[in-house]
Amino acid sequence: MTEGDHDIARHMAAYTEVGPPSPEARQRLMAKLRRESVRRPSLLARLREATTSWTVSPLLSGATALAVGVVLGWVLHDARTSANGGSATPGPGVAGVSSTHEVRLVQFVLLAPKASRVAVVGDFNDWDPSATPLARLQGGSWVAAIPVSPGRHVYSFIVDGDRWVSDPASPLAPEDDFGIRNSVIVVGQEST
Amino acid sequence: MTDAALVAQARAGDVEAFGHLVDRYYDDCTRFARRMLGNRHDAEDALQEAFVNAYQALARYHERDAFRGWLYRIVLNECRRLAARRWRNERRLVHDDVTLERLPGREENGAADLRDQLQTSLARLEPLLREALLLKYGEGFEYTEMARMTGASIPALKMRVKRARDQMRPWLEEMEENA
Amino acid sequence: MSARSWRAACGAAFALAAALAWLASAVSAAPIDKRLVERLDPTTAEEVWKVVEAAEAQGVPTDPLIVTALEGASKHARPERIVAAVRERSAALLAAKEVLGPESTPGEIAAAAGALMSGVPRDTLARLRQERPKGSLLVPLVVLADLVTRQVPIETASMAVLHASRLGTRDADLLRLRSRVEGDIRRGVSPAAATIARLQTLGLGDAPAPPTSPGGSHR
Repeated sequence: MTEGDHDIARHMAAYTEVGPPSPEARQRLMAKLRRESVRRPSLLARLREATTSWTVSPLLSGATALAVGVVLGWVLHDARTSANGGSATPGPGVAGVSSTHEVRLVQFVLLAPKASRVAVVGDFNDWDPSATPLARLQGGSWVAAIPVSPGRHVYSFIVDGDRWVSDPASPLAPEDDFGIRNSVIVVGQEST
Repeated sequence: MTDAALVAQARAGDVEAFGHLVDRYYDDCTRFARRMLGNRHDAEDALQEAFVNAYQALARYHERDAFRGWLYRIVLNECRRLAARRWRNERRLVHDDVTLERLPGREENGAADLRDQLQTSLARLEPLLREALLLKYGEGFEYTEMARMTGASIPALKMRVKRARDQMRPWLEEMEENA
Repeated sequence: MSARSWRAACGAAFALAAALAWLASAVSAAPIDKRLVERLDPTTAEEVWKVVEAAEAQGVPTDPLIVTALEGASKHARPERIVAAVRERSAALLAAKEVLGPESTPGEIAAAAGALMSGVPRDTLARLRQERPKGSLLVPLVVLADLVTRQVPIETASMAVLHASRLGTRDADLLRLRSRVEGDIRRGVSPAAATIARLQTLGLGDAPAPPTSPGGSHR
């Protein structure tokens, strides 16, 4: 270090003495980010970005190798009236939700270009195969968004009405009551 | 957890993962923005915009880039924009780096709430010189990263840092003598 | 009316009243959840409902039991299998609630029940609760059950999750660990070795760091 460096380094010692940032500013920022995550435009564009930039799991082998599951958890807050008086702005597709529970909109995606129909079933829709058909996008992805309460949820995909596919990208559910392995998703979990 | 892993979570829609990144960098970025802009209010505005922009731009972040440098570039751009808006309010149009380089750094007069000797000297620097000095000696970036952040060449950045040091030294010494 | 006739009439009236009272109590019991009625045959729906009511009396969350039955219906399981599954789940939920404590969330109880059903001992769950008395056990339990399901020996999986919890590992890191172990297993590493190897990388790299190697948590 040159003599000039030493001088400047000495003066710059005061650089960090700016006082702490205001906690209110940080809280405002997080509130804005959470609103931003609700308003995020073009889920489809974001989905395309994600499926092209992420490496997907390999296709299942053999005759069941039609469907590869990629679960993208989109967490869209159903922002409730906060203690600070923020306004509640329910996200799309969150109609009919109890106002006492925080609900998240979770997007399920399955890459199944050869399928003619795909549904997602789970404890959030009473395992009803007709409740939540996925919509097909260009490129063979299928997508659906479902409001679910925070916590643990067990689910699976049904391809073409009779092929049950667990999600290779998600943890497995240990319950094996009926011989078909399900997947687990945890929604809204926070680290301690 | 590494920055890249948190970015991956945030890209998947986990805004709280981005919140962890905010926790990690907010204080440092605040310090930088405050030294760049000279006052708390402008710094907070710049940071709000910068972090929201960063959140929106996550899809374009590549793991090969250090997140810290990538974030600081966004913060730096917001500081520049805010400073430029102040200039526009004073009927000056800022088009490019060359114009920026010609602007004397006096925008903090009247708006500054940081008034230590260091800030007084920093305020007198041209913005690009101040940027380079703060990134190098304040935030500890390497020149290679600074080049990625600012778009300037490494020799140009080294020259800016040297000029900033040369200009500030007598001001700081003078203030010390008068203190 | 003779005295005998009068006694007979009183006896009949009493029997009728008793029958009406019993009927009234039966009618006033909670109706079967209509989801079961719609999706199961009447006999199976009633059998399942009995298990649900008994579980409710013991303070066990009942919705997981109902959705288990609905899952069985969707998977075209045999009625006796459905009822058995609901009974097993009820027992596991009760055990989970006892081990984790009364303040556990329904999600934690369900996750713990799944872990118990996959063979994780109660002692492991109790120790997990000790490691995180206030924090959510949801993710550790999900990860633990997943590892066991992938043939990681129960002792190894238990040790790994307990150790991670002791380190204060964040949920996101725990999920990442699981994902990496899964990837290693797919590439031919033994489940136990994969778990131990990945466990050893926990606690490193928490500070802001230069870019990680490619791949991250996506594969």
